[in-house]
Amino acid sequence: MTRLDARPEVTPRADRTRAWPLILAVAAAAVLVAAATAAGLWSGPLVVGIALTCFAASRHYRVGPAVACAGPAGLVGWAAFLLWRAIDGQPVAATARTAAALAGLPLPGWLVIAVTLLLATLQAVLGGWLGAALCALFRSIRAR
Amino acid sequence: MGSRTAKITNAVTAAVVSAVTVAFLGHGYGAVPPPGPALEPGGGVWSWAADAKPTGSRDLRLAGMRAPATVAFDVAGVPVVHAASDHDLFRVQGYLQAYFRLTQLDLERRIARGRLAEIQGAAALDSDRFELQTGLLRTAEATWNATPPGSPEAEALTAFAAGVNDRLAELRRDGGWPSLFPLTAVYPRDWTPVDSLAIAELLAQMLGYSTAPLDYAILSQALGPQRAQAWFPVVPPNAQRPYDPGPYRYLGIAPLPAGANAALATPATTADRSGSPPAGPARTVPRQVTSAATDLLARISRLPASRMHAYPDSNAWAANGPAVAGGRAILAGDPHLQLSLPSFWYQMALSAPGIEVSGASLAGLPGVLIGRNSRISWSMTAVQNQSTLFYIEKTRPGHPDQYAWRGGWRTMQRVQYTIPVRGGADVPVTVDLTVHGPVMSNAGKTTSVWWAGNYPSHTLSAILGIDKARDYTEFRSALRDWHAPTLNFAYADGQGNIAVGAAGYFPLVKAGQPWLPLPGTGEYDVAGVIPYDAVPQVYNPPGHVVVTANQRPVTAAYPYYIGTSLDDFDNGYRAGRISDVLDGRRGLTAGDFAALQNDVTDQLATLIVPRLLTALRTAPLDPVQRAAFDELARWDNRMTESSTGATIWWTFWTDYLAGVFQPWWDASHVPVGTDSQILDVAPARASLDEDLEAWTLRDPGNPAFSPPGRPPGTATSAMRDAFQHTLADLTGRLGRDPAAWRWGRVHTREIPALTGASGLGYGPLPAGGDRWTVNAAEGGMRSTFGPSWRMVVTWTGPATATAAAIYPGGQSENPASPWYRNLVVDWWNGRLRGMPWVDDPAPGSVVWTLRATR
Repeated sequence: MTRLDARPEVTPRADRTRAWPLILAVAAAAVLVAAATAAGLWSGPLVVGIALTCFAASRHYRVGPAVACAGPAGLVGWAAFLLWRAIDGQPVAATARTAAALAGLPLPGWLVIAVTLLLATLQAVLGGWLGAALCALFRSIRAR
Repeated sequence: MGSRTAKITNAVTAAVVSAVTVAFLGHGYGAVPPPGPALEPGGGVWSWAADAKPTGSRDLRLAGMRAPATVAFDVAGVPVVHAASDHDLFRVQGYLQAYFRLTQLDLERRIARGRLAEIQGAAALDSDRFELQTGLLRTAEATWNATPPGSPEAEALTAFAAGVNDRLAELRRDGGWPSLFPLTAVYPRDWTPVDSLAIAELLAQMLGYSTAPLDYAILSQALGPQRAQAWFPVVPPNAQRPYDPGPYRYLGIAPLPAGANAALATPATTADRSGSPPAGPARTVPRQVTSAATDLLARISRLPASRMHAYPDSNAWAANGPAVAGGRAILAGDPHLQLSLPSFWYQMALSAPGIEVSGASLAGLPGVLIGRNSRISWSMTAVQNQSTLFYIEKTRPGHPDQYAWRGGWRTMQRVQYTIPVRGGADVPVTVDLTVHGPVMSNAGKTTSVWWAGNYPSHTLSAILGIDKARDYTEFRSALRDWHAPTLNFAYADGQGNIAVGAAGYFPLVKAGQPWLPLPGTGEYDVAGVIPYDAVPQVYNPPGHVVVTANQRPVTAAYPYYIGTSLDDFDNGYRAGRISDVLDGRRGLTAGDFAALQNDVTDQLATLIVPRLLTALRTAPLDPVQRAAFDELARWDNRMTESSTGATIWWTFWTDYLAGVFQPWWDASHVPVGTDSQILDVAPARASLDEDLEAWTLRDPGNPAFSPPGRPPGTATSAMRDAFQHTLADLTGRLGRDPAAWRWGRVHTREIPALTGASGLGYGPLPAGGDRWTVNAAEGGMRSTFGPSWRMVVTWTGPATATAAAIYPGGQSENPASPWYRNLVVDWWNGRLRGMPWVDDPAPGSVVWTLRATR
């Protein structure tokens, strides 16, 4: 019989209060997102978001914070890659202005960068949500 | 149980939302491109940032290279290519153009092929339909099919295409696409020789396709045939300086090959020798003909302005002997086109055994179109002769696919196309072909078009020939293959020879008035063209100066018809100004030529302003009018940005034209909206400028000054009225102080982005010049047409020259690149840059080495 409490995945074990594994996981997720985009995989934030929450669920962490952490992981992953381009001497801001102009949008360049990062965040959060929902469902099914 | 249901619901909701989001991000919706791949930092639009970095030396591998080649870039990004064979040379040229101009190449071939809607959506359908009807693609394919395999042009086109495809292969492998492609998710297909030929066809259309006969029909119908012929005559009424003053020879007519659309060659017969006055009585244009014209013009007016021949283009001149310092020859050339970022031109120097050439290459074509080689130099201007004729086909009742021709009924050939539309369904297009050419309209009357550009042309053979020519004989021989657009080629060489000669088709009809749509029943067909040896040309004239600036190139004595003043012959003011400066001079230098390229003296003003001042001296003037009069009296006829006289003059001339002609237009109900670019009353109508100049100077009592419903007038009264309007207009717009009416306040110049994206162009900024100054600013008060390339070549020995050039743009099409608009400021300020030559030591520290793939 499944427990009917609202947060069955939350457990009182003391080590679960320690944040560092999750922080490491978030950092690793950001690296994975950056590596994925380097490989041309635009859906990296989504996949990594799923993986992050599944990891959290498997370690019996609160899923809500994990989902919330997925967003920054996606954002940081893509932002890191754009930052690398800028450090490499590539005119990121000018390229953003070009993209806005070619798209026919009266947007300043920074807004194109913001939309790009928002896309990563959205994907990662969505992935986090999907991962959390699926893990909860599987756990519920397994608990039967 | 409820918890599990909630979890299932949550999971399903998350899955559905994720799936929908992923689908949208990955595939887009309708015309909205997929944002995921477009915006991911590792690729998409961001990968173009890597391309925008200042380039460094590289070692590149290209499949198919037969030997290593080097590319040395100067600081402005102009490459000097050294290769071991023509094949490698043109392959590297294709690679470089694709590297720096891929968006441009793809967009231009899409325009020419009628595939623009595939990337721009339904908004480009008008363009695609028109081009598929006109047949640039059909002609390009026919040209390629007629190109002998293994010929130099076939080898060059094939190698060039391979070079473009080398770059495409790199992009497909490594990413780095120009932003337009990930933004639209429509990527370029492999390049073919037909693509290059289609782009050559597009240039021919821009320089040689004209709707003048349709406009003439409308004007003739509205104003009456007699008045139309008087005001839009074959020979202009004002004094001009043709570069070929004669004597002329009538050499009969040369036959045409079978057209791209015709199944048979038109036999060479006699042609109507209507060289000077119009042949036969003025013909009344049936209303059904003007209905067809109206329909077609309405469609064409929806195309970008640069697609048709819109403005007179280009200056080129040369001087030799005592006229130049050093006694050899100097050439100057500045072709005028729609300005854009990037430019039509991609500057480069090319070297391989048998070819050494430097100058402006046309993006999409191998070779150099304007420039110099080790022995000769050349530039070009458009002849502006009539290259387009319209035919009214008599269709068979009950059989609209059949038309009367040479006494029988002939079935139109039908061609089907499908236009893919981004974000929409494919659109089928059917094109009917007659012996004259494609049917362009079925409104009122079935109207087909004969256009010289629809004949397969060995354009590339001519380009390669002039790139390798060593003297004038070889140069003219190479141009024998040039068919369209019809151009004047200005020439100077190291032996001190100078010339201007036309090349291309000058069509001649068997009978009728070719400036109007002609019956398509056979009696008025094109009989042939002016023989190459009889086209306008001049070689080493005794005055030691040759000038071509789109003026009518011959006098009234020329024995062939080449067009009316409504065709795009220039009104002659640029040619007149250039000749005024050069004629009789001694010891001219490259600096003098460069200064003349930037001259903004208005030749018409030098003729008319004295008459205006005379007319005003006895007129009552209020203080503001008196101040404006004084400004005009002090004015030096130069259209500088800071000039106030320029503002008064130009506004006056505009009002003077309107004051004289508009009442006639209104009374005759000229349907200006049908094609305002040609039909309205404005300084851009060469015919009206020429008429009014001639009447003002020599016929001030012309009946045109007494329009219907108005009191009788003269040039003097019309000028006074126009001056009143000018003052009212300028006072209202710029205030009551004429000293503040600077030309730059009302006149600007802009270089728009080729993609049309706002923010990626240059300007608009206050600018000097006007439509007919040597430094021309065409296209209205916010000018976007003008000198697309300026070049001066000074010959100091048989095979030694110094050359300098500039163009408004940069070598890269990437707006984030330092080579995107780095040349604009020099161009704007009238400075030239040294043209890299193949013998120069490495012009910069950046060298690419291209080798065969291991």
